[in-house]
Amino acid sequence: MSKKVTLHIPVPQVCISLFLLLLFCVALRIDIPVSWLISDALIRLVMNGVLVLALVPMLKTGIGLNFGLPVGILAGLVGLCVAVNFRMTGLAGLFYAMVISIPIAALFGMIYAFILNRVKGREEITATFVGFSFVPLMNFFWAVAPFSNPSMLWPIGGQGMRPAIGLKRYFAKSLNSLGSFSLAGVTIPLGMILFFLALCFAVHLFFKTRLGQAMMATGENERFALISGIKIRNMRTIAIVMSTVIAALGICVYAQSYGFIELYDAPMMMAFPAVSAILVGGSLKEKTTLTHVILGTFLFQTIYSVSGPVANDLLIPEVAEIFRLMITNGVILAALLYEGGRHKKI
Amino acid sequence: MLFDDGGKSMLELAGITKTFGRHKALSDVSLRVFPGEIHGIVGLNGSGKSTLLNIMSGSPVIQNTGGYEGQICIKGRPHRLGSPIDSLNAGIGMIHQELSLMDMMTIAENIKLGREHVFPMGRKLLGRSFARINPGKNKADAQKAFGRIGLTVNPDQRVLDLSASMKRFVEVAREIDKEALCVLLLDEPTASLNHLDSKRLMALLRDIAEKGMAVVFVSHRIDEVMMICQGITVLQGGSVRARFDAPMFDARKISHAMVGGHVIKVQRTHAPHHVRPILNLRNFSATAPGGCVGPVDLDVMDGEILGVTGLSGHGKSALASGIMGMHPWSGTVMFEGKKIDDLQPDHMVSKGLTLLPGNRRDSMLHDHSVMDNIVFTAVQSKKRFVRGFFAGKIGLSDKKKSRTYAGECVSQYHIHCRSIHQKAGELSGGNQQKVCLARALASRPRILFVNEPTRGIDVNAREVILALLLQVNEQKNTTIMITSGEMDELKRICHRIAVFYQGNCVGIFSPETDDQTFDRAFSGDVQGRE
Repeated sequence: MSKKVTLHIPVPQVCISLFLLLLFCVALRIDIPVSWLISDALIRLVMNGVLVLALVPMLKTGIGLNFGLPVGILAGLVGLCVAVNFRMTGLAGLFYAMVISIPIAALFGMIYAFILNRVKGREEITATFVGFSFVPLMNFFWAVAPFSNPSMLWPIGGQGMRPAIGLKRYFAKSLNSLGSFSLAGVTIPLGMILFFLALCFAVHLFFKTRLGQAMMATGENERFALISGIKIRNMRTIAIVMSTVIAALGICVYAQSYGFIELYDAPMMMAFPAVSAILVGGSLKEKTTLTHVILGTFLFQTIYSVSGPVANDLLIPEVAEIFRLMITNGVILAALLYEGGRHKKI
Repeated sequence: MLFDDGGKSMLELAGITKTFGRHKALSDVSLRVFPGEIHGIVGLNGSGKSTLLNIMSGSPVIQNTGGYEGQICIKGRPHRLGSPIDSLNAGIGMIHQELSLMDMMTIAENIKLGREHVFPMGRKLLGRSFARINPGKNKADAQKAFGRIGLTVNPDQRVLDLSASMKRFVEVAREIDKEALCVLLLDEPTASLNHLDSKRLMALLRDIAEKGMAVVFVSHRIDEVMMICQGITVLQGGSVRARFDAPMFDARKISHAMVGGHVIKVQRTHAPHHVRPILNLRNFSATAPGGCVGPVDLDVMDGEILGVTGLSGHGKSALASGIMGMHPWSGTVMFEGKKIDDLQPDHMVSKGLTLLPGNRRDSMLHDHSVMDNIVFTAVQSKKRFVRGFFAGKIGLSDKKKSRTYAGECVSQYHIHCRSIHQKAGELSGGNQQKVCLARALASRPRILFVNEPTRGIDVNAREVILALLLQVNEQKNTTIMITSGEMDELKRICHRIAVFYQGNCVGIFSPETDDQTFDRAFSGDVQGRE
């Protein structure tokens, strides 16, 4: 029996990759060290990749894009603050922050799931406002939280958390430097990449289990799932809790790499780059795969990190930023338009 | 003019050929339909009937896949049908198998959609698009269109509140309201109607044809086609296999031409062996979107095949989905002598009750393989084909066992597919239904509820599915409740047939009961118990 082989070329992703290649060529031409750009791209891939991965469970279960990512991020921030409060350092400190943030994220996730299960069909816009309203609620918590480490508190008055807490003395770059080595001038954060890949593999494996398949069926055909004896509400709740927990782990990885914990309004808009990245990767709602996550994060983050220095070098700084945003966002928009056009009905 | 008939024909097709990639869907199809003629097109699934209708209705699918070859003439004038607008301008109207109406709009709004009357002053000042719609004139037109088909309606009624047959009549009214209409195409118009509603629709089509219109009627129901058509074209594998003219119709010859062999009709041979009830309904009511059922008292016997029938909108389809807990319900349900307090789909599935919905879209994962579909419900409800971890809480699917089982199903149920890894959505309707049935049976149900198992399926696949249901009932003693409007099929395989009228069970009849009694039961004026 012959099997028809069809070659599907992801045109938008190829376009962005070509644009990226062009940027690298220009960077080479104007003597910007490419090895530095690649090292930065690798770090940014994992730093943001976990947050992008957090979108997968909800997408696959048919709930849509998790615009309420700040809910999970805030749980992660609580975990990070607890670890800093107890002056935990190194990898153990990061691990401690993650362990603390998981139950908090699970609790937040349950509340978040309760809300989203009541607004079936309008999840994305509701999730956006859950995120927006959760941030000010936590602002209140940050102002009164009973943390005692002076490096976290306002220096004057000694009460209330600072907007940015430095992690240099605790666990900044602890995962970045784990097993990292240099190859032809490029720093490869091996431990960090392996951690990300392991997390991706765990999510992949989860969706191969009986429970994962039930969640996937809920996303693809809810009525089918119902007649197969699947509890739709439970599946949605599990997906939302999973998404929130992975987002909490994501912010821990992000913060240790960035070197700071940013509190108050900082998480407000953090869902948008993650959502953009997964769309750039070619995600089509329920048909999201881990390739979309990895490819999307790499292309989206690298295009931003490379275009900055290149534009600054080629143009006067005032115009550079405008042009950079115009071109990079334009390329992303063109890619998304192509994807949308390909799937239009008429 | 393509044929030398003095320009009398209304619709002429000559040498119509259509290819999708390397697959030839239609090859050199020619057809002539005269004014006042109803012409039937029959064929198995995949024989090219729908492609032919899509070409004539200017479907974008045809244009996006390279167009078609051949010529189409309407009233002797050649037309190139590249879009639905071309088709409309040529005078062709199309009624699809699935209803295409706006449920929230009124009858008048649906009939005049896109062709509304507007106030002349507004049109002069703002143009047609921004002018205010003249509802009075639109309603009058709607009433006039319904008058032409011999019905009286309230044009302000919302389509949502109409029965399936009435919705079909709204579609017919919408088409005949088009002034230029001279050819009406119908794709399986009776698939979603029971036989009384089908009769009404066919009488209506006869009236329309008598007024000089050419009607092309595509259906799997050979008896209907023979009843109303003056000519029948049989398609097989994209080519015209045979043509028959009105007095020379012979059902056996037609089905022989369709299938390329004789169809052996399935017939139950075993006498009922049920002795005790497995499911008791007392004062049971359920409210589903398509109709309400109850309060009803009904006993389903262990090991029987119970047919459930009635006119559309009279609650027959709400019964099974109500028992499965998919819709609001009330009353008492007892399964194997034990009362079930909480009807929830997951509880019912775990107890061994499985539902196969009439709409195949609801009972399949189209983007997943045949194998994934077949084992899915068994994996979820019975933990079959699973390698368990953590006391079975988290399990990975056992690919080897799944492959073996799916392979067995494919050969046993005659599922025509490239392999068990082919996407289920790529299969033809009949084969999809076999996959759905295989999926439902993989969970080894005690009671299987099947809704409209042969809707939109060709004559060959239909007999395979009926044979499968009989086989499962006889060999595995699975109790089956079939909800269907196909009386001929119910009579052939059921032990008992329950007829529903206005949500109530008016009687349970033996399959040997005559047609007149069933017809009276459908209209609620007979009470019967076997």
